[in-house]
Amino acid sequence: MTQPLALQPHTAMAGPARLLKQPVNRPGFGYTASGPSAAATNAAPAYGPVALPPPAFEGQFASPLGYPIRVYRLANGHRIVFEQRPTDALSLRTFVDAGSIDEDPIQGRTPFYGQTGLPPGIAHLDEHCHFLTTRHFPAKNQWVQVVDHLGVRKNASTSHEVIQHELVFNKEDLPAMLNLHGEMVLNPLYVKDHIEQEKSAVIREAQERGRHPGFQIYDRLWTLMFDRPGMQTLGKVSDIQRISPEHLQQFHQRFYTPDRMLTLISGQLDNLPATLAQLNQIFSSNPNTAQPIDAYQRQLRAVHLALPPGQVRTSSFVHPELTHSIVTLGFPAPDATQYRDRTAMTMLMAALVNEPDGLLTSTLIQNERLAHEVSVDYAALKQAGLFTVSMNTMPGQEVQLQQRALQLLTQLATTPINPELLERLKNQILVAFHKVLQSSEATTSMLGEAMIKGHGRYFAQYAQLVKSITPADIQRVASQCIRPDHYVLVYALPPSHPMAQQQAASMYSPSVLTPQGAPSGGWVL
Amino acid sequence: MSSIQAMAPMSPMVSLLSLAPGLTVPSNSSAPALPITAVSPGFSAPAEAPSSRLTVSQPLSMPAKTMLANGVTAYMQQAPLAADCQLVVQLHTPFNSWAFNSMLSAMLVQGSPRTKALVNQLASRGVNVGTSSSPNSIALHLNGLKGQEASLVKWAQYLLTNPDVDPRTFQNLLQDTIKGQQEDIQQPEVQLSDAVHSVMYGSANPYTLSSTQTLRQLQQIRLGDVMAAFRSVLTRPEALRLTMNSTEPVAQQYQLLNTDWQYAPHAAYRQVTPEALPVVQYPVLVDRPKRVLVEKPDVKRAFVQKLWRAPKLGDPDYPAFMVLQDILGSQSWGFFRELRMRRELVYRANKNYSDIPQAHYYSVDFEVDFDKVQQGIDGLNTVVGDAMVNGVTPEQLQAAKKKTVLTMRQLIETNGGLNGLIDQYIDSGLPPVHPQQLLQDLGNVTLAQVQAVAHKVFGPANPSVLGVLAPRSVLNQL
Repeated sequence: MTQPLALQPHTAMAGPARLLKQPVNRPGFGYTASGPSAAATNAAPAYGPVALPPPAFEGQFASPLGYPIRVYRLANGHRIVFEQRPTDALSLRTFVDAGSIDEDPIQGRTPFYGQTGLPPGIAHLDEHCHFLTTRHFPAKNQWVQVVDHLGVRKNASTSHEVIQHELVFNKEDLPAMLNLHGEMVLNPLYVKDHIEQEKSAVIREAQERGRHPGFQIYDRLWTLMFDRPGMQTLGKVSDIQRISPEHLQQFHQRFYTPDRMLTLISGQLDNLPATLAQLNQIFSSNPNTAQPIDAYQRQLRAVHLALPPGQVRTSSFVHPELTHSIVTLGFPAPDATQYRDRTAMTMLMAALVNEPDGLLTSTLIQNERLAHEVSVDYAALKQAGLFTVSMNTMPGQEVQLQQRALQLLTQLATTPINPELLERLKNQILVAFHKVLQSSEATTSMLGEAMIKGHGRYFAQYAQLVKSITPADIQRVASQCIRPDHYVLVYALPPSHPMAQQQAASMYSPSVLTPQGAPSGGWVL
Repeated sequence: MSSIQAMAPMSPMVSLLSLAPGLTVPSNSSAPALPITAVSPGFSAPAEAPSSRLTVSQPLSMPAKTMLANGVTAYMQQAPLAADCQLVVQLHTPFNSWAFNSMLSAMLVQGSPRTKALVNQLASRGVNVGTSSSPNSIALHLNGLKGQEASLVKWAQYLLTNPDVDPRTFQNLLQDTIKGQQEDIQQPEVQLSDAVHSVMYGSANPYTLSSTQTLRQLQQIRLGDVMAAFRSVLTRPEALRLTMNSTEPVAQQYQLLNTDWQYAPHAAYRQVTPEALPVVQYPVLVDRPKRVLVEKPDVKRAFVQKLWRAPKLGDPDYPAFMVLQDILGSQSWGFFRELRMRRELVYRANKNYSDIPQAHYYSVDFEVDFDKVQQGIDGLNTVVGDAMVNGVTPEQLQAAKKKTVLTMRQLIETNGGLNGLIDQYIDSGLPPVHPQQLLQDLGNVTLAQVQAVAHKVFGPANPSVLGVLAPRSVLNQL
């Protein structure tokens, strides 16, 4: 469905919580600028006091480290989450339930192609644009200069399904940073010249990332498995170049709406009510309003499996920096809504690469020397999942390795895991979870992403879930996920490979890959 | 060539209580006096910091140094609000080889299926074990959950006194390490960095060996060498030190170590700590700016790296250089602004700083289109030239200080982070300092000092090497 959106100029914003201009050097910013950015800094917004409905308290739970987590919802739907912990370095992130999935697909393999009106790569470019110019910091990079003066670390990221903007700063700067963060998230200005320059940066980013074999493998895996390629988020050069300021503004207005946003702070918050009140002022000023979406649109807004049952797809390429080969298998896996299966997948992966008795590491590396490195990964998306096994091997061993790995993986469905090993793996996973959450930055990232996807309960209950997993759970997910007739396969080969100068892909046709009953319809990229 | 600063002599029980909030004396009057000494004697109390912004509010104790009854030197510090504890054991080795020590330390925790199983079991109980190495040391790192200090002490000693190396496991690990090294060598960034370091340091400095030299060393390692090394290093340790960071008070840490830590240096080497051993200073081979061109025909973009000799930890101008480095690395003022924002040449400009005594340098590198290499080099020179001529502004100085406070505050969220800070100082032959001391030193940096250190590092009298990797046709244009 194409939905032309009327552009709403920022100057025409209406609503109960307009930004209020304040005199220079307002205490809310805690910063006195000098030099070229001073005038604009002094024109920066401070929020309130405007009478607003108080945020609704939605609940409280303890983090795995025992720190209290409180959840609020503003009247417009924007959620606010606090984690109180004894650190003076605060991590502040706003998450947006949007991403490259909201763009037109790069390839026209889905019925949704051309239906969003938004070019591929726009979500990522928009994320960059938030740093360029904002309504109250209209000179290029002015906002960045202001936060740099405060000794702040800033970052942002765009994935298929989530966008996030992060600031890490000293707690003394909290009031100023909340305002500056709100300004960056809510009020980007899309100036044509600035955007053109940023497009060059994004294209260079794609060139740098794309050079690495790991990125090329990832992109091909996704292209074979899903209705979106891995590089959807970066976009192609031709797509990036046709993005206009109007496209960007349309993207912002459509997706930076209160119902799709969540802001999370972790650290020592000395005056939580005041912080909450300030955030209420800031994010209640969001001029964008939620747009109802129907079931069709909801279906569109997720990565979908494009690998039909009973089909194996393969791809191979030669990379000049490789001296060995990389064999990567990808399997459809549980999506993010399946908490128990997600947790069992985590156990399954640990059982494969655990030292010294992981099924893959002990067999392929230690005993049979078919591989010298094995890694596993699992991505749980809204409506799909991807489980990957990546193995480094010497040229010439690729097919043998792939077949052996597949044989071992399918054993997981028929042979229950040793209960003693399972208990050990559970403890390891819980310890690792506990330790990674010692970082406030890691906590805001994990918790915020879970909550914006609607899976805060998964985060909160993760420890209990881990403890409850049984050998039968692991067998179940293995039998559902790892099937010898339903997977994708990517070979990355070194230039020295005997087949590199030939059509390498033909060497690895599906009929060769699948030991028995090679399915018809498999295709080679 | 100068040896590193020797540690201050240790005194018996000292009156540290005012400086070390976490240090308490047992109420039992018969308790032995604790031979613990402060290692930052010149440091004044945190409350005297010049700016309230330049503080960390976590109640960290002073780092303390002691000698256990068996002659082992131990450093301890308390971060009571953290959720973890950490113990590092470092042993001196005479091998002068990073490759060899890397294999040696890896064998401590991956030497056989039995050892791997033990490490795996420990991880399931909350104790993660890792290793690190330098050309002249190996170290065992154990990180546990709050309250697991005794486990760290127990299992560190077990691993050091029960080395278990299985020939097959050794060969597998060695071969896999060699394959990884061979892979690294193919990367253009590595090739350029090797060439630049080679011009600056030659091939005699074990801390700056090229990837090819390291590969060659790896290929020469034999199982017998490792076993002999274990026999000499582990059964007859010449020098070792402990660093412990915990939520427990320093006095309790001391009592635990003094009671439970039995693994000690050989009698002939008592009271010799790794940091007190003389460190060889390796000279740089250039006395003025030099250039190296590396031909690589199959790259699609050029790679540029410039490396300068820089102050090291403990040098008087080290704090000023930290400030300068932060400013040059910021998005608004340094290489990023010039190369990406203003000239639109790069996506990123990577900065790297090494403060180890044997190879202290600062480097910047970036990828750039073939036809814009010279523009990139010009941009790089513009940034450092501006730092020398105009210095930095008061706002930039203040921002750099604030960011350092932020970094410190994040570092001390865990005892593991705090431990890294202590080891960084000890490895440089310096007494470890309280984070507040670092912030105080930083707070005292002036604009003139920053400009002076910019002159010192980026001026023509300082050794530097510019490297470019590209196809021949591109290099011919330079």
